[in-house]
Amino acid sequence: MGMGLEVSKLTKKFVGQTTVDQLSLTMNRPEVYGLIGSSGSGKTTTVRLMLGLIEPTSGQVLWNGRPIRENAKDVGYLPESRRGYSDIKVLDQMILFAMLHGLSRKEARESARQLLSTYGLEHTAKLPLKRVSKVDRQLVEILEAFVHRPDLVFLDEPFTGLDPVGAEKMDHVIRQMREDGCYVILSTHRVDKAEEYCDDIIMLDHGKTILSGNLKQIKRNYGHTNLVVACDVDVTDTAKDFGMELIEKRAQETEYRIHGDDEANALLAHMLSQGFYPTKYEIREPSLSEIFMELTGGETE
Amino acid sequence: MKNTWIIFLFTLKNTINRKKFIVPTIVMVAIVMIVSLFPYISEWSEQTQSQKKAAAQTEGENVTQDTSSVKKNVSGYCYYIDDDGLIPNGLTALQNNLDTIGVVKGSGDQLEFYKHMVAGDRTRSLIYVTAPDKDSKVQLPTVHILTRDILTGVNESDVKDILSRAYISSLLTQQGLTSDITDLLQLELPTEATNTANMQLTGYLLALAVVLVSFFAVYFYGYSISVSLANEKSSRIMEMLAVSARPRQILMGKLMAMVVMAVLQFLIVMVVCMLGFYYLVPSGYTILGLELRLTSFVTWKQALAAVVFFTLGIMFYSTLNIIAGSMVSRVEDLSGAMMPVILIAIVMAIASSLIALENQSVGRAVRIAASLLPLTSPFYMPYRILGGSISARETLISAVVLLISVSFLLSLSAKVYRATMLHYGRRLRMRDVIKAKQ
Repeated sequence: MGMGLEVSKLTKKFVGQTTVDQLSLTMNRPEVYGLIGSSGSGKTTTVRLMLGLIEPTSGQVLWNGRPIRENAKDVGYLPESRRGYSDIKVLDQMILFAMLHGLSRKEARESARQLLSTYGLEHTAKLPLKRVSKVDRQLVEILEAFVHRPDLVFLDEPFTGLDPVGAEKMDHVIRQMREDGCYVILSTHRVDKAEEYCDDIIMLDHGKTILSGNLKQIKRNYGHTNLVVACDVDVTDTAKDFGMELIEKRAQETEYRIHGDDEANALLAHMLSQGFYPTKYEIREPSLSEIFMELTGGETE
Repeated sequence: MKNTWIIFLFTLKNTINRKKFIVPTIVMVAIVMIVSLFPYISEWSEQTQSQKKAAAQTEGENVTQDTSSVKKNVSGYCYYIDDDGLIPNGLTALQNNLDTIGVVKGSGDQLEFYKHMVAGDRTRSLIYVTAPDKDSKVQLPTVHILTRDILTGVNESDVKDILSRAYISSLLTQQGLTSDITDLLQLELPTEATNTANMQLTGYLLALAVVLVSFFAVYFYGYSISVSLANEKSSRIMEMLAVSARPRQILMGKLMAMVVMAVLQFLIVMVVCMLGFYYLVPSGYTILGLELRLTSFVTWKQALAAVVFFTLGIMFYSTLNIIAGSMVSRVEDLSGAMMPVILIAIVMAIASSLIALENQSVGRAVRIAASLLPLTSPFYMPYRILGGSISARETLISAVVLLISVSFLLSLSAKVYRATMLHYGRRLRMRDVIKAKQ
């Protein structure tokens, strides 16, 4: 029996439209797996299919070799823009979610108290959620999804609606889950966040998988890298002569697309021979945003 | 089952100790206590007013001297004015035939005074006879009857009958017939009327209380469950619940909690109602001449049957509200979605009460239909059960039909809930739900 998450040719068709088309992914080890795409690309539908909230037209999802619905106690889910029960005490609602995932009342209470203590929220336990400060409330609403300490976690646009403090706490939670050895599916249009956490990614566009695999490998295989130059003299025209394409001109530096290290070395040699000494000369991999924009022709945040 | 129980306990705990359960319960108990006190206050008020009137009359009004000559132990007095003797022996006929009213001869020049007295005293009535209009084809005297309201004083029909017979007797006597013959000519055949259905006023009033509480519970708890579903959907909690619990489990847990609270509230109000009746309503108190009686009337089987129909009624209408609540994704859209259910409940409650009131004149088919139709049976059956006009077999059949309907609706509501739980945005229509494919 395979361990981990296995998604095979998952497809969902609604009337006249294929929302998710033959999506496959495998998670054999604890990691953060990015599910990336712009709005309407099928991310949320994919997450709901994987959770068993909606029936697929075809394909299957297995967790540790069994249908995911049979493993509810191992699964945590944080939907987009989720809020808690405003009139109910924090501890009571955390206990509810924990018990629904198979914990006994005692276990649920202990787990909830421990989690609140870990994040400095003990003072909120007996308060109705509406009486908790906004910052603490955001964190409580996040933690309710994981109070039962699941092994597999689905995060659907977890940063939506969070203020900077809430976003920072979300960052901390994701990092903690990585350290705790969770399997995490991070569904987001925030490509920068995916780049920050994810080892593997799958990129969707109108339901179709346009890119998938290990992030580093994807960048390495993408076919080009970028060059960042900071110099007192504008070398844009010179860079063009060397076959480089201008990506962005910023106040302090300029970024070019290059097709190999040789191009960058040739330009540097020319600059030095002309007496132009750059203060910054960096070769780096393309960002995931650039890859996404190139593949989809769209914009990301 | 375990998840159903978890959600049931969670919902029960977080609703039963909150204002929206405690306050309405207290309010209903207070209303029942006040209504139970009403007969006592009413009788006390009448006694006080009678004493005041009697005290005023001892200051030298002619009326007091007249009433002192009439029979004692009467429930009220009636002034009779026929200065012209248009109905010979009319006063005597009234005095002989109105057992519970003391009839007193009055004077026409005090007509306005009598009218004023009657308006201020529910125990007083006025009858005055006027000459026929000269232009009228039929030259008969007109009898005018004045009481404070339709529930008090002399009975119009009785007075009309007595004075008509007195007048005809006088006409026949003028034609030379003896009193024996005039009595014979106005003879009425003795009749005996019996109702096979025992319309107990107490039973009707108790059933009315049950129906009112039922309607309140249908509205309040139906609304509560729909609000809960809409809130969970708008806050996305529903998606989290659905990962670990089946839609049917979620609905059953919530529904069971609401039903338990409704039954608990119902029992509290009914117990207070019974206690209020037993301790506060004066013995022998009557409404419209019918005595309120509770003892040896409501059996434990009737009480149990009433609770069963109350419970099934709550479940029936709550599942309709679940279907309505599942169609929306925002609480603001809820009232529009629930309106049809509330309107149906209002109409069915009123119709059931009217059918029960007009029990003798509605057709048997109507009564049977009202007993079996799930929309009406929760409101109609309490009348039949507490009125003592239904057999155990009929009660059981009605309960089974309602239970089957509830089961069907529960199944349907779970399907609708599942089909709509991931829908956000505009309010859905039923055809959208039917078209939706998972």
